[in-house]
Amino acid sequence: MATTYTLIASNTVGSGGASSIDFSSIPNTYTDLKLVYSLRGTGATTSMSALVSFNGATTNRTWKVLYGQGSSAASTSGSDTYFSEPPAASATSNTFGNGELYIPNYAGSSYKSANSDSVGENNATTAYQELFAILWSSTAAINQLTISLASGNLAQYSTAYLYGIKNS
Amino acid sequence: MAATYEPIATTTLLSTALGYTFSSIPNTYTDLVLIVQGSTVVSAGDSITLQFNDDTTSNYSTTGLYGTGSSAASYRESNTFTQTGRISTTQSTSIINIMNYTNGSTYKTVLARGNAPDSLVITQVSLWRKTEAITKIKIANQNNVVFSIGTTFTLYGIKAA
Amino acid sequence: MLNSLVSVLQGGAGAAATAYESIATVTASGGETSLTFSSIPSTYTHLQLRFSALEAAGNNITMQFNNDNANNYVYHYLVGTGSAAYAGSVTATNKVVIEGQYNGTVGTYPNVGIVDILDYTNTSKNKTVRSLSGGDNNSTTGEISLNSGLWLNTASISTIKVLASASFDAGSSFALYGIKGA
Repeated sequence: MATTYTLIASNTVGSGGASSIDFSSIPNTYTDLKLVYSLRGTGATTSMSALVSFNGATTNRTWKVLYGQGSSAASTSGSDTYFSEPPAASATSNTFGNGELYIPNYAGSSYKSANSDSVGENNATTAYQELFAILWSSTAAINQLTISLASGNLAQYSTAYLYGIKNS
Repeated sequence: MAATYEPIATTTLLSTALGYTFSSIPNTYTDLVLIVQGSTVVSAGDSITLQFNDDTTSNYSTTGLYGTGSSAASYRESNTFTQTGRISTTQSTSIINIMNYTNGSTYKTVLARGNAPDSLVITQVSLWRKTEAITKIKIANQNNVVFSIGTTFTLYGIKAA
Repeated sequence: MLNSLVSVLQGGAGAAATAYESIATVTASGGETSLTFSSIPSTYTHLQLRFSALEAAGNNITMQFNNDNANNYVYHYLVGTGSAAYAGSVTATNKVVIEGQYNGTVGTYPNVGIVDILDYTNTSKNKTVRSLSGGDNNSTTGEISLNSGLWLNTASISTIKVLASASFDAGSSFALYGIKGA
């Protein structure tokens, strides 16, 4: 029987940081994709918006998020490629976020919906817990995923792991 | 060595349907993971409902936490059906974990994440007040309307050591 | 100039090895205030704990690492109770919360959760915990929550202790899985 849960590729940001993490040439032989990520930004803020594009596209995207930020619960929405709010340089040192992005039927011909469940942390009141609903209104199969930040670079030791899930 | 995470069954709707039923679910796993991806005809979005083992009574309840895109809120319903995940007219994804589904001593608790981008982002916990092992899952939606062609229902089993 | 990283794709012929494996399961016989996973192998990249727990109403489930019970933890939470949605934080504490409040009657109403710990052997990172958990008892309140926790220590995790604020009832079950990242 074919393996159900397989590591496709992994990335670790090295010394000096990186502007993005890219997964290219994603095979179309799985059913779903699961991106597991642990990110930190280099910008001088407590947290930073993380972005994920599919096939390099930054349009035809919408999202809704339900989130807590240490003192209240709220919800907002948008149309860019936002999917997580990891800690950045002003947050507690050596501290990274923790999240997963699940994309079912990523190689199919329907629009692509995805769930992103993400937490940041910080030794202070403010840190984000987020549940995202993401839609890419494209019928193209996803063959590339690119993670970046809205500002600054990904810090050393940021990691991302791409898994393929097979339904038969 | 037996695999830990295995597909049990999957189906893709070739015509619209009110839902789908998984039967004869093996009792060899610890948890079940149900992935529902697709759409329906309810533009305001709808809850996905699960019935277990042909129990059509009010032995179900749910607590949910959701975001509309402008506000966060919580709700619960007792003595009704489960509400696990979300579906709407745009492509939607729900990941539903049915925990410890063969335990003959406890009720069954379900943990769900739902994503209907033009409706809600939601997470729910649901309870089925029966101690029997789950062998059958009937998937429908709260408004009892059809799921669209191309909607997929996939069931995985996770086996603990 | 900082360059983007391009992934290294898994290559090779033949069926790929599964990345998701069961490590161990611990089940309460009843009355325990904690349950422990010891000697966790360092051969995985991430850990996932899946649980179905029973304990007295109003209690929570927490977690400590490597027998550290000092105030080296922080946690945050996003909670829905059925009537309210709220968030909060606790700093300088001696554990992280993975399940906020048990609502059921001992014996039949399980609280459940899925806890993810990424890069648990990475000695350059403090350990961040993510937990989706909850319980419902067909009454006026239930609870569903997304919790995050931080262990202010970069050590590799070799021991996980799960604690009940009261005690675990018989049949409370915690299953630990390892996920490979290389």
